[in-house]
Amino acid sequence: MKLLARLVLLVVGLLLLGHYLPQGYWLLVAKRWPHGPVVFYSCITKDFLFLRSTNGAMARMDRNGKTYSRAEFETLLPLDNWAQLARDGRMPKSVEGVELSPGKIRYERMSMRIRPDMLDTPEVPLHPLLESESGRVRLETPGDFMRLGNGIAFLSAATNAIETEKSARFAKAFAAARFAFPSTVIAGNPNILKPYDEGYFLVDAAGATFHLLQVRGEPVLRRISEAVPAAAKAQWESLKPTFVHVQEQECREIRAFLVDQNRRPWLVVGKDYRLVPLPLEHYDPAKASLAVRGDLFNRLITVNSEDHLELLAFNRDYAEVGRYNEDLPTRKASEAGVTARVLFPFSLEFEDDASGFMGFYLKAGSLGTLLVSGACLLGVAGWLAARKRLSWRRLPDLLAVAVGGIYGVLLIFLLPKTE
Amino acid sequence: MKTFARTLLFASGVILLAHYLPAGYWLLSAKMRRPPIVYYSCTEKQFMFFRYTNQTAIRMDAHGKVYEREEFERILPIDHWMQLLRDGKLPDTVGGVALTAEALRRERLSFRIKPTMIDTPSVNLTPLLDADTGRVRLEMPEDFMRLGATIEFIHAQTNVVEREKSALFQRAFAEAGFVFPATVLGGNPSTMKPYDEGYYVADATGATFHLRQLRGKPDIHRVSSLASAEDKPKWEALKPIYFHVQEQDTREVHAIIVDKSNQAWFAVGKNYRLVPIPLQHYDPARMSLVVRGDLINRLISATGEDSVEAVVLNRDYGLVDRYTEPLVPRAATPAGKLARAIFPFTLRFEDVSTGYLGVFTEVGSRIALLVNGGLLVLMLVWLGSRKQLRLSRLPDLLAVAIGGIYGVALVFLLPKAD
Amino acid sequence: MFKALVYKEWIKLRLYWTLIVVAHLLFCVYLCLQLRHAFKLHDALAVWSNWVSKGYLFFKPAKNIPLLLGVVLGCLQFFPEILNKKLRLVLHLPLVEDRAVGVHLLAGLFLFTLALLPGLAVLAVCGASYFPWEFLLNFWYIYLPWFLGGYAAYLLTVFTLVEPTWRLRVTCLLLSAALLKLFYIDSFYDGWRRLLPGMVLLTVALVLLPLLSSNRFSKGYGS
Repeated sequence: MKLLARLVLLVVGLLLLGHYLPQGYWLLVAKRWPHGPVVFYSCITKDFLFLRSTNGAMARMDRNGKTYSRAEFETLLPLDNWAQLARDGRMPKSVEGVELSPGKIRYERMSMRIRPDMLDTPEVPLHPLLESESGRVRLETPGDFMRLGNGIAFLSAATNAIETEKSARFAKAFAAARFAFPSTVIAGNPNILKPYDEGYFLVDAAGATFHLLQVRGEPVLRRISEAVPAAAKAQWESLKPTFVHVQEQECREIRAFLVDQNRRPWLVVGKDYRLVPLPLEHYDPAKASLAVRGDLFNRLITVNSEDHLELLAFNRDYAEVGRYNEDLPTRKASEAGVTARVLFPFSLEFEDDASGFMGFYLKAGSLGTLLVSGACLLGVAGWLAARKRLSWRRLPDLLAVAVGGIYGVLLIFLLPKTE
Repeated sequence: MKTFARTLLFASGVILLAHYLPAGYWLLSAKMRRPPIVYYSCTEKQFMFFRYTNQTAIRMDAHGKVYEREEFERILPIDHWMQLLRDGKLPDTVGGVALTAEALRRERLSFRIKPTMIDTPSVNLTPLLDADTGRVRLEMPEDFMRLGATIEFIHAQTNVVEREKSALFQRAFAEAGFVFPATVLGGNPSTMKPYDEGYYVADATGATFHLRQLRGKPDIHRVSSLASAEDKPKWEALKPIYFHVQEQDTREVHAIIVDKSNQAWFAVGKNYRLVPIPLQHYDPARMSLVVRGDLINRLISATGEDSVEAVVLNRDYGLVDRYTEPLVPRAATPAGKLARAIFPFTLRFEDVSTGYLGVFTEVGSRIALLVNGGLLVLMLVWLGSRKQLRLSRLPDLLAVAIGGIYGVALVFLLPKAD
Repeated sequence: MFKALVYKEWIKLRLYWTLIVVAHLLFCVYLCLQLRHAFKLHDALAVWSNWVSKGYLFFKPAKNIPLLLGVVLGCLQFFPEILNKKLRLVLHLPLVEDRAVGVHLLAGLFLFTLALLPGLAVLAVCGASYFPWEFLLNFWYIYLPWFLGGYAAYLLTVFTLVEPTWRLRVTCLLLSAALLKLFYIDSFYDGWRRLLPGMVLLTVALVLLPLLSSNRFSKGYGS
């Protein structure tokens, strides 16, 4: 019992030190980490442009390192800087034969960002289903919440009861569409501050994708594979999305972003739910964030992970017009990071950027930490031997030093001796 | 000594109960009460209202006639122009003014002044934006302005006073005739606005100055010397207590100024025309002032706990119409009347009139005196019957006489005098 | 023997325990009244939206109560024992030492649980009347770490109090603070879901720590 108790004490001690010591280290040592560059795609030069911050100064360059002044940079990016160019009288009247007007430019701007924690985050399973065609100019908050569990039900907030009539009507529509409960993905945008309502994209238990809208109070539920032209049907049938993101944009072209069962990203575009694959080479949805930015001429996909930047540019027909890759310096590889990974055999955190859930996030040190732990072990063993206290009963302590390196050494001095 | 200690105990007890018992009472019995929203119809030339009742909202005119949503929106075309435009029901002109989407979107004014904005704790450091960088977007400066007994600029990163810039501004203030210390300062320290109006400052004599930073250089003027001949005396007589700056797209209204005599003013146009807002019952410490302006009119409404008053001004700031309505304050509702009868006084530490904490007392009604008297008699009888009517019981009796039910509760909660 | 020990603990604690139960119950009733007030003053829809999208939970003010209760109960139960070293008497009883201390701990944990249950029942019933069952799930996932933190606080308080030397009491305090902080990390809805099994195991394992201290106490260290 006593041995067990001491083991518990050592294990808890190691875990706590593994959590707090690295935290303390970074509190003292952390410097503002340089962001990756801000990227643009120029419709004039038909290539990528970068805004980099180095040592507090801003540098504007292209992919070959050629630098530009702020005025030149803004001239090459008319769609991003039209307000400033208009004020200075430098705004071109047209680009590529297409006339430019502030209204048109604003209408065609879109942006969407998918962060890794969006794929793994706790969510209350109650979703407001907006009325998408009320005839009103603004969307209105519905008075109820939709619950999609083993069936569909609508709950009224005012009475905290199920609206039986509406729920039955929707249940009939789900049955008619042969929806297999429970739903694995429920994706929509429950905000009313958006240009229109796309409703929800649902994936049923069999992996089939559906699109749900509320139109004048009535359910509109489509199995997408049956609502697309014959050529795309097979594509939708084989697709089993694991994540869908809906963010309605003014121009209504991109309806959703999805990640399939093989972790490949796709865009759902246009009235016919056209599937546009994003042929990215370095995108792991669980580790990198992806941004889709669009304007009058192009779509720019930016993938930012801890150590890499990948860019992909499309024209409006979604044909690829540019690609770029760059490795980024990581905090891990900085001096402070290398030192940390040698000193600390492991570090423990309970929260992570890549997930909204709390968990046991253990990061191992580098190989150098084995040397440090080994040295600690020899030191402690020698010290114990010198005091003639090296015995079998001290095995837990020695194990703690072997596994925990400097954490173990600290523990031995903080905790009471075994007898 | 013991009596003194006991008196102190009762006194603190009464004060605490005077805070917590009414709070608990209102926690249990409070109902949602929202004042009506006032509109003005430029087509019918009358006031319209959006009134909240138990659980629903009703649309009415001043005579009590109820309207459906579509009819209400038709009568208020400018407030609902987007919906009417979509339905194809927007009239082409109103009163000779053409209603185009562009003009409607551009010609909007919206201000809201709450009592807590006027009397609120704030750090005496504020950013002075550069109003003329040549850039279309405003940028936050790297320093903060400290305007009090002198003017100084402090660089945020280094926490050091910028000597040159501070001296430059100090000289400019002196040349403009500014008498330190500054007494009232008002501006909008945000970059989310169409342009930067700068700050309005009142100096030690109460004169109003307009301060901006243009390309790093100070731009400060005594407003009365910029105003036209007929407005100059008005500016010189003005004793401002609050400047409200909220930059709008139209750039017409520089600021709204509230002065010592509770009069609100618009400062308008190139010549800083000073237009009084002709409200008759505006109490800045207790009422919210909302200004909604559009292509045709300016509607200014002041809403307090017991009244709502609205005035309509045309584009030249001439008075068009006026409306006043008393509201039922919480103290006049059945729950409020009961509260004022049983609580001889209540104590709060926060109030709608200020952002500062303080001691805010409210006294009960005359019935509370009767209640107190009755309780005192009962207490005397009760103590008498237990033969405990002694001088050492004086604190208890005083507590009941002054604190009514607070005192009665304390007599039972606290230890007996021996 | 066990029955006698449990009864002795009950006699020692019953007045305080009753006060705690009543105070906690009243506090939970107050939180329910605040929720009722919120529903009266705002649209039901706004309150639900605040919960679903912003994580507004009417029982959040009760967050630190299990922690406080654990510490207070630990102190109430064991201060008398260590003052004047009365614990020695218990440890000299014809019982395996660990078992004797274990019975004390069980009594304390049992009283802790019983003290909180009435108030929690009130919160659950109130929540269920205003919100759908997803709210009860939310209540469970958010409150359970706090509850386990309360158990841990109790066990760590006993661990610290019974430890006879001051030098190690400081270590115990540091360890307690560092460990308890982890139980109170904020999360949303079922964000704690993956860590809960581990936290339960950890809390159960913490039962062993007071035994270490009592062992050192009975050996007479630091006296």
